[in-house]
Amino acid sequence: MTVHQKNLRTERVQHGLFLTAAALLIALGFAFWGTLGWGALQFFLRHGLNRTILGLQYHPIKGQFGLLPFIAGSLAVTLIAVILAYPLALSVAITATMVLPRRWLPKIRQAVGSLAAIPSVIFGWWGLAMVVPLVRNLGGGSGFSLAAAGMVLAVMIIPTLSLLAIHAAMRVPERWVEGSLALGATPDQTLGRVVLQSIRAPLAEAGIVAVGRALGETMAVQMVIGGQPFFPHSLLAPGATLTSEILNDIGLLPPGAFGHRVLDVMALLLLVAMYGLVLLVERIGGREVG
Amino acid sequence: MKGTTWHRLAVVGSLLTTVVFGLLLGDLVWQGLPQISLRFLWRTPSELSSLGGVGPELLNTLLMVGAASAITIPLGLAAAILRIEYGARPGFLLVFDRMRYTLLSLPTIVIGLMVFEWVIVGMRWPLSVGAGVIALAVVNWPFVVDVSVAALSGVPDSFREASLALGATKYLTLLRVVLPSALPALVSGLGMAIARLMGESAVLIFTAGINVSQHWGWSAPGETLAVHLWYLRTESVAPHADAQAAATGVVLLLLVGLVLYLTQKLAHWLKPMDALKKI
Amino acid sequence: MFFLQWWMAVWLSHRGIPEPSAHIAISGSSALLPVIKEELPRWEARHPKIRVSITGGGSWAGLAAVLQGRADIGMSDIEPPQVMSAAMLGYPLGRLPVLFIGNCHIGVNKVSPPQLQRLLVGDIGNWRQVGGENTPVIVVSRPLSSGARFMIERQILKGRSVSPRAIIQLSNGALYKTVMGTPGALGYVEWRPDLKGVVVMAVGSSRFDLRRRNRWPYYTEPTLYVRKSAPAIVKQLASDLSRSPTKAQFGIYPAQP
Repeated sequence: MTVHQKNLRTERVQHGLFLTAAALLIALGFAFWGTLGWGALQFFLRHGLNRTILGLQYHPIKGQFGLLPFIAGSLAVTLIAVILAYPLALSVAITATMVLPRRWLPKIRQAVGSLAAIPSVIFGWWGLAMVVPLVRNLGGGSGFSLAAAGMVLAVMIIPTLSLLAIHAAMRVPERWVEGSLALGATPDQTLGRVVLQSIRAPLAEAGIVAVGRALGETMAVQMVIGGQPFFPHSLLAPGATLTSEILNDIGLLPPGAFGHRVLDVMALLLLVAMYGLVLLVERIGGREVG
Repeated sequence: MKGTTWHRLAVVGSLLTTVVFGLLLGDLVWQGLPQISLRFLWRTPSELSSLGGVGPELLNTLLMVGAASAITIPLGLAAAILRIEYGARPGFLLVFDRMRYTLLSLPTIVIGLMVFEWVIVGMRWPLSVGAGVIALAVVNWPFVVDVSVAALSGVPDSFREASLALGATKYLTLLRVVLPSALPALVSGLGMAIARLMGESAVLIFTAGINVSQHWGWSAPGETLAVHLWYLRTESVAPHADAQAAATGVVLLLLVGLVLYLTQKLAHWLKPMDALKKI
Repeated sequence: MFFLQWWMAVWLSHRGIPEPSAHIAISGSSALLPVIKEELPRWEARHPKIRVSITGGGSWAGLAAVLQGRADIGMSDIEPPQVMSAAMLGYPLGRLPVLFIGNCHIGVNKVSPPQLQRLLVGDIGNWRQVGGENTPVIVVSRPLSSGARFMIERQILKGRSVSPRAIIQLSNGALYKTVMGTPGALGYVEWRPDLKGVVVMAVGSSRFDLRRRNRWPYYTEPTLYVRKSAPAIVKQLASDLSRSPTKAQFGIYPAQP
């Protein structure tokens, strides 16, 4: 056998291994869809659709499985987080790429990247110590609230969001900026009409990634949100999200117990939401897929 | 200078962000650092005295994250190589990409719930280091794929073309050209993945348990630093539990920082191989 | 020393020397976690071949886990219903007082049982109405899986539910810390050694006194449940844990003085 033939054979084996790894990942994904889908299906066959996704009352021991309070909680918390975090992250990106000297940029990226690795329990710990009292002093009530959870999440997603925004802003060719300034545009006009305009798609994608991160966070939220499974009528009221309620109820509804499948339904909702976000990114075209 | 209002606002926003993170880290370090001693790092936790430590948790964190990474780095890298270097039918790649992005953004509590149903309930494993490693591996795999794909796509196509034109096979091109030039980016990306894994807690509470055994083993319960921090902050009745929580947080942060620092250094050190790019 | 042993164990398990595989799982009420976690290391030191894992989740979760075989020992504050108890053996630890605690700044340290009921269900919205400061009442409660909540809803609320505006905290410790830090907060905890910085309420004519704690009418009876068919070593562990010498330091006192 010649060396070339040997190489070819090695290559076939290697290719097979790589293909197997990729196929395993896909299989893992399908296993999630399958398990959660099957669990949710059994749940719906037994309890129907109306009293679950569209229901307002949640009391699994009494057989009430309304999930609207948690869906509302998840959406509210995510919305607060993204609205608060986006301008700040954008500021960081603008400062890093357009105000500070360019040679600092690698160091800044490294620093922001390290902040993105701070464990979420630490954000929860900090939220208990600082954000909850802050919300209590500003808005009254107990402080454990959707607002507090949103604020903690906002701080948590700022590093990720800034990093993505910096990456996007770096892609704008310096010539464009120089050209715009040379034509007499003020720095502000250049920023608004050239830089930000040209990276709208990646910025939107960054926003969607941030939404995904905020929607999926569990520990930091659970520590400050108050955990109350009633429909939240105010942002200052305690509430719960889909993720924090799963953590609360794994103990109450162990596998095999009446109503355990409602956890599968909640998890499936999150899975569908994440899949929706993936498709949305695809549509915007920031990411290459396939 | 005129017309710089937005720039000024951006600087104010950045300062605000810096202050927020400064408060966050400053408060933690201020409370936690005085508690840390060598003794704290190697003693077992205690419920009644303030002399407890985080030794077993530290070891569990290192071993579980290490084992999970050892499983997922080859698997993730292989899948990424298929995606970037070998390719497959477009339909396969589309499904692959959608799956990996979905898994990447999936809440870790959902992964915890699934591993709990599969491994603890289905396969009747005990709450253990082993089950925790599996949970961590599921969390980490899509992340490793993501950073590997990013690292591999960073290698210019001209490298591959040159190598193939010289008669190298695809596999040799991968081994001798693509992987070495992607290595720095790969190392720093994997550093991020490992650092993220160290702070994971939601996925472990119901798969690895919230205590440590006197006898270590793959089937022993495996509380990690992040889970211990959560436990201390909520349940512990130990005197100075809050101070210990802060100290645990500082240890965790230092560990994360150390991983990031070392991988960055390593990536930097590997850079010369990348020098070809500049030619 | 311990660390060395540990490294040895790790090293040995890497060397492929067969490790002991007996594993006992404990699950259930979070109020018992500290007691168990304190006693367990000593027990494990005496039984070098056995590893014990613990999770919380609440009393109901513990009972269900034992019944389904997912855990060997269930920590529960609740007496299991007849259907369950037929298959299980209980190892009682004693009685654990349940206290009603308020934040320091409410200006009240005594309520009558009906007042307590109306406070907990949310009918009384301000401490002024029971003679305290002008501060809104914020009820802090445990999730449905909690044994303490079960006892409260049965014994004090007479079947009514805790206020829909209550904050839910997963565990006994989190609840205590929330009451301590939140103005106007009212909650209930199973006794713990570090109850400082909160007002312990007197209810009607009963006032909690650590030395005469058997006079206090509100308590749970934490018990370790095992399946009747469980191996002897599991029963041994449950029995040893239930007679832990340190349990008094966690507020558990014998049912018959």
